[in-house]
Amino acid sequence: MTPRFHIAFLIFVSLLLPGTLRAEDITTTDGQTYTNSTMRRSGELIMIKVTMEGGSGSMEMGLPISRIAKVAFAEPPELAKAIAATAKGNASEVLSLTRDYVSRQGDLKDVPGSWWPEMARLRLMALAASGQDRECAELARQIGAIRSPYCESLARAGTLFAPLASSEVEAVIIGAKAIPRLGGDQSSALAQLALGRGLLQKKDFAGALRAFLTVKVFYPSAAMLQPAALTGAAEAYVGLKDEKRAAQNYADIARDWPDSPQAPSAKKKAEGLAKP
Amino acid sequence: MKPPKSILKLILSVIIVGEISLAGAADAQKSPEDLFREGAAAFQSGDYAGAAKSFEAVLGEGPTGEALETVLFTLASTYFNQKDLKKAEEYYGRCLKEFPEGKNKTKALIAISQIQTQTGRKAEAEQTLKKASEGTGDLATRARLAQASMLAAEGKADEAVAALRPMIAGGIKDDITVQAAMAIVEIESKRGHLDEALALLDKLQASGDLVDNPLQLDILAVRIGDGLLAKGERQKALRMYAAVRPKQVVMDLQKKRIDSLEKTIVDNTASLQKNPKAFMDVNAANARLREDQKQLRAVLEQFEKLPDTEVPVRLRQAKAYDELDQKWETILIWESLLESSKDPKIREDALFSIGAAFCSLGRPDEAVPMLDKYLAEFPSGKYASQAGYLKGAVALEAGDFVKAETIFGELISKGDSSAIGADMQFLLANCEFAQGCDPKNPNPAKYKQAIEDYKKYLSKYPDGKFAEECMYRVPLCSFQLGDYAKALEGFLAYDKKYPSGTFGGDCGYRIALCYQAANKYDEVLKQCGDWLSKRKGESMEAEVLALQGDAYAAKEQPDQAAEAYRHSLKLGESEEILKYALFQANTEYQKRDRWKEIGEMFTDFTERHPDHPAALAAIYWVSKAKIKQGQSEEAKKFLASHILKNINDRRKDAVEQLVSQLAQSCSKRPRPSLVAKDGPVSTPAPTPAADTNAAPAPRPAATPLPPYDAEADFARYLDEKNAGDAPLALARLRYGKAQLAGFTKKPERQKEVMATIYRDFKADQLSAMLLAECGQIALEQGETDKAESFFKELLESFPKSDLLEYAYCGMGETSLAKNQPAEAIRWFDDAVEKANADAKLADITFGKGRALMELGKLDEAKKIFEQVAATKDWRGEITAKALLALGDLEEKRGKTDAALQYYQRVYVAYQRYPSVVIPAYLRAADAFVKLGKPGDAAKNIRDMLSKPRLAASPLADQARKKLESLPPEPEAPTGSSPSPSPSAKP
Repeated sequence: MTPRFHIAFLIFVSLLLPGTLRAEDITTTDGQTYTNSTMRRSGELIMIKVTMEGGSGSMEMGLPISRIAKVAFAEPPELAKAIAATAKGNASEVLSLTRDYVSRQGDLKDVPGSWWPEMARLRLMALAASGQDRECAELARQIGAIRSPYCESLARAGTLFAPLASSEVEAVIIGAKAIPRLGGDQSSALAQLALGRGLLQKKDFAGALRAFLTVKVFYPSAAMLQPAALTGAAEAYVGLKDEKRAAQNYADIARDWPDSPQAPSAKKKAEGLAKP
Repeated sequence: MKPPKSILKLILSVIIVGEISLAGAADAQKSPEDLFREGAAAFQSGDYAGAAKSFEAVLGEGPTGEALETVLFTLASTYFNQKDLKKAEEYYGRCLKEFPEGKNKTKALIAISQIQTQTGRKAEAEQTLKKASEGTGDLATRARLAQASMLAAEGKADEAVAALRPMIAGGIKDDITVQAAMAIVEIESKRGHLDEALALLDKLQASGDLVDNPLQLDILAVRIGDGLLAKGERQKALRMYAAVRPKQVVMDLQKKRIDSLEKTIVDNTASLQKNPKAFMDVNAANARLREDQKQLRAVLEQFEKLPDTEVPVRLRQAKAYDELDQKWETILIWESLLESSKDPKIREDALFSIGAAFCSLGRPDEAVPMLDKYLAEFPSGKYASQAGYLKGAVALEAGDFVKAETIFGELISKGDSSAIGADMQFLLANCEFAQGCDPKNPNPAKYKQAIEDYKKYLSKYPDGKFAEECMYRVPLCSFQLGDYAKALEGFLAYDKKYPSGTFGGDCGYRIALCYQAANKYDEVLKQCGDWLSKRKGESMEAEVLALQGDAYAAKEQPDQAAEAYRHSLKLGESEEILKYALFQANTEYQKRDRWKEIGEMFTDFTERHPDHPAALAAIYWVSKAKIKQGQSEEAKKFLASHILKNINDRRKDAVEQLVSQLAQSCSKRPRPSLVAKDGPVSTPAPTPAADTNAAPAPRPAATPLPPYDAEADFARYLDEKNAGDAPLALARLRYGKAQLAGFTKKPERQKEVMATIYRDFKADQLSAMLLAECGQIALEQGETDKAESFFKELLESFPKSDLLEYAYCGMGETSLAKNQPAEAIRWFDDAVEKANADAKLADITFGKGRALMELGKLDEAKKIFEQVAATKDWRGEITAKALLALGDLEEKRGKTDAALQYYQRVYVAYQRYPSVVIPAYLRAADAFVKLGKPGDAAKNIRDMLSKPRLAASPLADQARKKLESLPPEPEAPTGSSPSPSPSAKP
């Protein structure tokens, strides 16, 4: 049994005493709980509508975000679907599933308990994977506004796609080097994808190949980025005149990532390269 | 798992950390609220007996509703902490009974399950937890986790997984789902369900930011990876190993996690200042966080003592990628080890492995520096010999035979005695052999060195694994050197020593070739016969049969030769042997006018090898055979059907050849067969005896045939209707019409139609042949840019075309026209070196001479012009041009006399070429003027203009103008005219 699971088992009784949260509950850092029907943002305040005792009326009050420990937001129904689509590298479906939520819920993105960072992360990866570089960089900037090491790192990697879109390759290279290549999280995979594309523009095929294969070898769990990285690797192989490996990579994309945006073209290219 | 003690400790800690000062001892007057507050204070200070007393007193006051539920639950919790489990269970039970849907329902059920576990009633505990898990919210979820944990501990893996699965149905999104997923991975991996574990661990890795115990994730990844690797599932294992991070990274993550928990505890405690009433919640939360911290610290301490798992995992990854032939991935792994490990052993392995992987990728530029680095750092390392060997091998693989020879030579001279020393000796000889037969830069002298080194191998390693090959290669070198006697001796020796050797087939073939070189055709036939009887079905059979055909042909036995070639054609596989046998058989059949066989052979060839480059040429021969057999109509239909089949395929070079053949067939009225048709030849009826008295019958007059319309005949087979309207088809149709005009002796019409192709179609619409033609026309028209576009398209789109020499030559001429002689020389050289120019060789050589002259390299240019003028095979217009150029060259040197001689040679010997002859007359006139003989100049031009063909040329205008500037023709002296004047009277 995993230690973490063990811990969970040992400590669950400590929850005997605190009151449970309902879906619409807001818990402040000092342990107070508010039941709200609606919530909106006003600067650094979250305005919540509290129903008066006896249901005689309601009043709106402002809470500084720093005082909110957690809001039990209802999980967006698209999240599970987006996670499943991400696992298949299906960028277009992820983009469609996350579009509305990410654009509408951005106001509350830094409220503890918000699902926005997760939905935005999935969208960011899908934008990068489908080559929408400018949109990717823009979303990364929004993610960067959330004060957490993970979001900051994700934002640094995502904003690398801005210079990529304007062919400022040197900026991409410098930016990517500032993010750990090995032992990092999905931000590292994202940065390597941007780096690979930048080096491909520079016709540094060996360097590009290294970057793309770093995503494959060290970050296989970054599923959404795999087909894009493999496509980049195939292009680098073509540049290196290694058509056999290029064809193999395209064939891998078509076989392993059939739902990805890269699959149809990869299939054709694999067939084209396989011809004598 | 031992929950009871821990739970107790935990609850104690929850109570102990509480900080709240409440009122003093209870008295009889106290309100229930005061009593409750006293109980809470006692509870906080660990005085559970006091707390229980106070809470019992509250209960005695008879509270109802929510207050009663709270008191019952609090009292139960107090007894629980007092270890009075019986009473605790009683009150939790009562709480549940009186408030079955109360707010403390789940908490009470969980507590009861703990009591049941502690008192040995595991089955009951499990059921209770199940009930607790049926509720909603965080606690119910945790109850389910606990229930699954109990099931797993009891070995009920299926039930445990069944309890956990619904928890992750919506994905891994938070702490609870992470724990559930980790638990499933743990259970599945232990019972060998690696695929399920892998899928889930993949998801966990994707949600790495949610996993608060990265170390555990790594441990699971290694375990599952090892399991998959043991099952030979490398790709899956690799995905798992990828999750393992460097030790320092994991430790830093763990420390960060511990620090963040500490910060939360401090923040929670600080919040009590503002809201003291939340003491129970805050205490509970902090207790949970402290326990988390404690566990994480313990794991970290343990981890710090462990060896780094990254290195062994990376080594497994490198091995797996290498076995999958994913060399770049292997390189990445080794590079990561070079970055993270300071162990010199790892460094040695990494440097060598990276170099070796680059060798496998055929990338000497990366491999050699890496191997050099290895050799510099580990000159006596365990891979030192191999590193040197690989350096040579990679150079050999990359075709750098000189470099490979140097490397192997140096290593051998150092006396490398390793196991690969023998291999290096063999490869050294191979490097020399390869230099001997390098098609780009053949160096036959190297064969001699190769012989020496193969012999060295044989003397040093007579039983070495390459001994047989060395023995074969020694005579092969002699063969390549043209020393057939020595080669024969060596091949015979090999054949004797290795009668069933690997190279026996090739050796036997070469023995016969040696006899062929010695013109011993009977011996050739004997050797080929032996070979065919012994080795029927082996790969060289077609070559041996072709050789047999050559011997018969040399003996002037065309029937036998043709038969051997036909047999070779049936068995041949390579393009070269097929083409050779096909056309040799054709030659032999033609010697005997066997057009029927020719037709059959080419028909069979086109059916069996429709994609062979000679397939369309074969169609040409089929049609020709039909014509020869008097089947002109069939021939034309046959040609047209094949033209139409390929008319839109610009890759089919021979379409133009077929179109041309069709045009030629249509250019003349069909004639009867030249050869006897098959079938019974009708015996002419006996001529009746001549009646000598009869008057001779009048000879019948020939019936005049109607005029023959070649264009209409051509259109019957190929026109706009059946060719379609694709640009290429239209261009090819026009090409056919132009050819027809040529065959019907209408050169102006031919030029005009060809010009429409060059004018109306874009370069990327045309075939190789039409590009070559159009480029030339554009060049003649002085449209150099347009010419360049046609030639470039030919170079880029038809890199393997036989017509490339036209493109290279055309580009050279374009450069000359643009006054870029140096560039022109490069193109002309490429035409010879890259396109093996043949048809355009005369033009190319002449063009190079012109370029050299423009560069002022007059001596070199002169040599070339002289070569052109002297080559008999090229005699014609190019000879005239070369002479004219030689005249120009002498003129440049100021040698007008010498120049004049060349110009005169042109118009004396090459009157057929007005475009060369007229300039020669003009320049000769200039030369006469320069020499102070204007009269001779004028006479010379008048002589030219007296020739109607030259006078009609547009160039003649220049001559007329020049004549006007020269002195008039001297009047003949009066009375002494040799010829009578028209006015003279007789």
